[in-house]
Amino acid sequence: MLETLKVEKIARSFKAGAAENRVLKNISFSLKAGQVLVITGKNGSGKTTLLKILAGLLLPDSGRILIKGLDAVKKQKEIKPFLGFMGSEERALYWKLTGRQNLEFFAALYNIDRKTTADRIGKLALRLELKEFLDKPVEDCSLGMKQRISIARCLLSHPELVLFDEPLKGLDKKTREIFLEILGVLKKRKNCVIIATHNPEDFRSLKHRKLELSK
Amino acid sequence: MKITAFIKRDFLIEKNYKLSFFMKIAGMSLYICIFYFMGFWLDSSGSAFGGRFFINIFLGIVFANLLLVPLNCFSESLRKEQLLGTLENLSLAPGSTLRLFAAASSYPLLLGIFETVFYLAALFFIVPGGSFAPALLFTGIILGLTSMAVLGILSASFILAFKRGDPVNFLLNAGLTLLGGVFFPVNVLPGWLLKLALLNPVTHALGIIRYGFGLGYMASGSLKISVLYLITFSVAGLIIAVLIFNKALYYSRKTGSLGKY
Repeated sequence: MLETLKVEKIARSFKAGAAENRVLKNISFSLKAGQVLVITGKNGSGKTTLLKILAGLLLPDSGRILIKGLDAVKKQKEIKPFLGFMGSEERALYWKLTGRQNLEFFAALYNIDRKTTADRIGKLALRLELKEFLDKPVEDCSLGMKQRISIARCLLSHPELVLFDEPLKGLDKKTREIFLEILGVLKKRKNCVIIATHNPEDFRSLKHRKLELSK
Repeated sequence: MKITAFIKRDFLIEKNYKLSFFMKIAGMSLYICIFYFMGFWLDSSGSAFGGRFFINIFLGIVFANLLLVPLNCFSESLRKEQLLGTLENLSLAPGSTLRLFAAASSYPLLLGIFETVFYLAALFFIVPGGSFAPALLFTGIILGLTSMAVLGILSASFILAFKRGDPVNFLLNAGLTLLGGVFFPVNVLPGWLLKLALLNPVTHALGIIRYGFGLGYMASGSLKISVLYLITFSVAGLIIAVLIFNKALYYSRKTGSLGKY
């Protein structure tokens, strides 16, 4: 079976003044449909950097990434529809809009028609228990609520490869359980999921592969 | 679909600032009063623009305001997304990033058109004179907006690569207005400045627009030259601007600075 994702010898460094900080060195792995990869490592080990490279937000210094057989650097436009990315930044939504308006806006960017959008938002709202605050401006939502809306935004386009950066940040115990259930559903749907986290223990109930990044 | 999504988004965000919107309408109404009274005074005293001083200045200000919208809205919408923290998510949406930002500029452009129409209401008080040619007016506006989009994309590329682009935009706005024949006919400029003014798309676009209002003065000497110049500037400029934008996007992906501000 063709891998959904193939990463070959990815390296990335950042310049810090005159010094060069090599964050990622020769990272290689592959993922098939329905697999979950949990990336762990200390602060600064390159978890977010790796996710951003996979999402096409950052270019690697060397190496190659193939998503569904397409070169992620050269064919970025073609692979965008397959990708879902949820960054760790809190301000990734339009705060003046409600959660629903945010989701409708992003759905329109993915060319999802109105009926399907309403249907998907309804299902995600039910699954993520968003209903109570979906029509509140995001600026009036708590961190956990914002995080749930961000998860919904990431999953709205039904991406085949889903990248989550610290998805459990700010979530209470119940919502963490809901998120794990969602991961189970994504696995069954044969989606590939990559999660960057400080706490791999959170995902022990889920069958997954591990990648530990060292500094 | 994407254009309407951006218009709807920006409208919903603007709805949170109703007072600011009504204050702007009030301010624009005051400007119409200023134009109205200036008209009485200037048209009896001015000799520039062939004695049609006020109407020329009025059209210059109103349409320069519209023409400069694409120059500012590309970079402003990009900068806004940078500051809001939504730029990364937005750039991951399917389609080219440049097209996304072009769509993101539709609301400011609509507002600019609304503002222009609002100011043009003042023409009820002023008789432009001569023959009115809507096709020429439309040509001047479209070519002018396209030319300014070229500079807008270049300005956005600067912001993408170097973040703060306000100084560049400020300089461009001032320079294009100074050398665009907005407040005075460009033939009063000294030789070398006149040459620069004739390179400025605003000069040609305003010339065509004024011509459309039956005001005959063309800085380039001919309507045809101005139209051809703007077409060439737009086509060649857009190709170059898109290449530079893609380079800037590549640079920000290379340095990892896309989401930074």
